Amino acid sequence: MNLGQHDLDGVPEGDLHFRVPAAAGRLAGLRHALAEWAGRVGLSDEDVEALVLASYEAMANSVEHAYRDETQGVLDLRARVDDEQGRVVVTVTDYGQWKPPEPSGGLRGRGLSLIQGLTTTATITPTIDGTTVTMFWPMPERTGDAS
Amino acid sequence: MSSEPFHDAGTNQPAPGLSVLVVPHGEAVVLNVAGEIDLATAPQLGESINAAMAQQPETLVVDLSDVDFLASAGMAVLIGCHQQAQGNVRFRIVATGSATFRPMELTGMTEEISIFPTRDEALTAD
Repeated sequence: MNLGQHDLDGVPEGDLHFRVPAAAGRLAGLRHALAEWAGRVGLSDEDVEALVLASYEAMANSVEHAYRDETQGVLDLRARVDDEQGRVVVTVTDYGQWKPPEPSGGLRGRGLSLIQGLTTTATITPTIDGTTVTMFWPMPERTGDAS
Repeated sequence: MSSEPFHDAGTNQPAPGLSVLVVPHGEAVVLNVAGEIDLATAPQLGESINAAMAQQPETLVVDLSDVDFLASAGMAVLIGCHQQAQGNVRFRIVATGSATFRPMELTGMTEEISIFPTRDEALTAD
């Protein structure tokens, strides 16, 4: 079963892919869909919670920082299971230029520090076109697993 | 702590946004917060706290026991309100568990703000 917006670049079965306007009001729906997906692929309740919060923080960061004075852009949320590496991969991509963090007592920095606290690895990859945040969570060991 | 799934995958209900119920307790005011605190709902939380703060209670308790999602936008509001309260109102939070206490612990908020596991403790502590 394929979730998320259709017609986007051939999303494989079982993966999650949403593209939405980078607006705060759109994120709760994505968060709930992601929670449902993460539970269904077999992550523990604790990891589902961590994955959902970290992914939400990445999306919120895009909403707040990606599109400065332009009209609103979009963000892409993707999630898939990497069977080979035994992990879940979540990416959040926007196509804007991140504003430098505001000097407001470090309040905004908490989002990024949360992401780092919730994932074993998180990478933020800026490009000329935008930014992708990539996060991983290990899949639980399957009983009677193949090699 | 509860072993309930983070989201009930069986139903397809959209989660509620945010609700804040203000309950006076003598010299204190308790805000019963329920639902999800994120970028979209954090301003509403801030407004509720500010309105309660304007009444100048001795103690203001923000009870997050019924909150099942807390994002950094919500934490920023709580910290801002705490800073505003300094010297005027005793600002306390009630939170336990992985949805609320753990994120606050991860960002070091637990060092800055008094957080209690129950409302009773928040109300009766010195």
